Amino acid sequence: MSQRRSFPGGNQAPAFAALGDTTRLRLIGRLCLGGPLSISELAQGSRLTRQAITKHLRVLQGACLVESARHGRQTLFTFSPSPIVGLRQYLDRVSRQWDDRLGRLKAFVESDPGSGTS
Amino acid sequence: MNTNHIEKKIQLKAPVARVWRALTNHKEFGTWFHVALKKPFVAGKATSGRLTYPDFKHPITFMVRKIEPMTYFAYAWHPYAIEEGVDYSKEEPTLVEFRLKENPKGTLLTVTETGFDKVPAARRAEAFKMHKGGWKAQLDNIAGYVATA
Repeated sequence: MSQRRSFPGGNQAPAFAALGDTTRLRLIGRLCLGGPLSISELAQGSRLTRQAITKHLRVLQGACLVESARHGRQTLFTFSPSPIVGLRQYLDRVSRQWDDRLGRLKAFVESDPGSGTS
Repeated sequence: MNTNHIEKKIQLKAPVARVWRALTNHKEFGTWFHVALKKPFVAGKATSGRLTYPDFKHPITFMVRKIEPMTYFAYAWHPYAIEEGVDYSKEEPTLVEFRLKENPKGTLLTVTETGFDKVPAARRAEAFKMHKGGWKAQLDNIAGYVATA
């Protein structure tokens, strides 16, 4: 979890900054559709050099949007927003459930407020 | 946003005694929480039942930790333990605490839920996974867009 702590207060700016680039969006798109992929695979059919792709992947990794794993002699890259987004969405969901429940509790006790001492 | 802690405050136009009963009488609790509990809340004991949403009838267990009349009620549970056939009992539960405070308008109720860092990462990611289709569709759109741009 140590990496995620680098986004205190749910600051999504690094992720948005990393995504604010057409080339990186295209890389993410390809990883999402066909990942995990190697740098060579990502370079296929692209005008980008392997060096350029490596540089962009590093930015995406820095924002936790891409993960890499060694696979034999290759490094494979996968799209992974879940480390950042997963926990937040989970808590947002639990939080929304409480809002709903407390709304119902309010309606429940206020519709019959005087009978508390019975 | 604190990732280990949820806190909610709500002002209720009802006396503390009324709110207390709605929280700690298992039948009243079930009415607004939407759960059919079989047994009352007793400190140190568990009570369970099924959720009573029309399309959502998962069993759920409340492990009552503490009952301090008119002021404090706490239970532990497994939040979002909604998959049939999964044994959640070995997982660390979260703690839900209700605090009641009388004020001129009635009762100020504070609810906190803590301990999310102990919920297994796989479970936390569940909410996200359900969403992943959405992400994928978005990225398909983006990929399609930038491919033609």
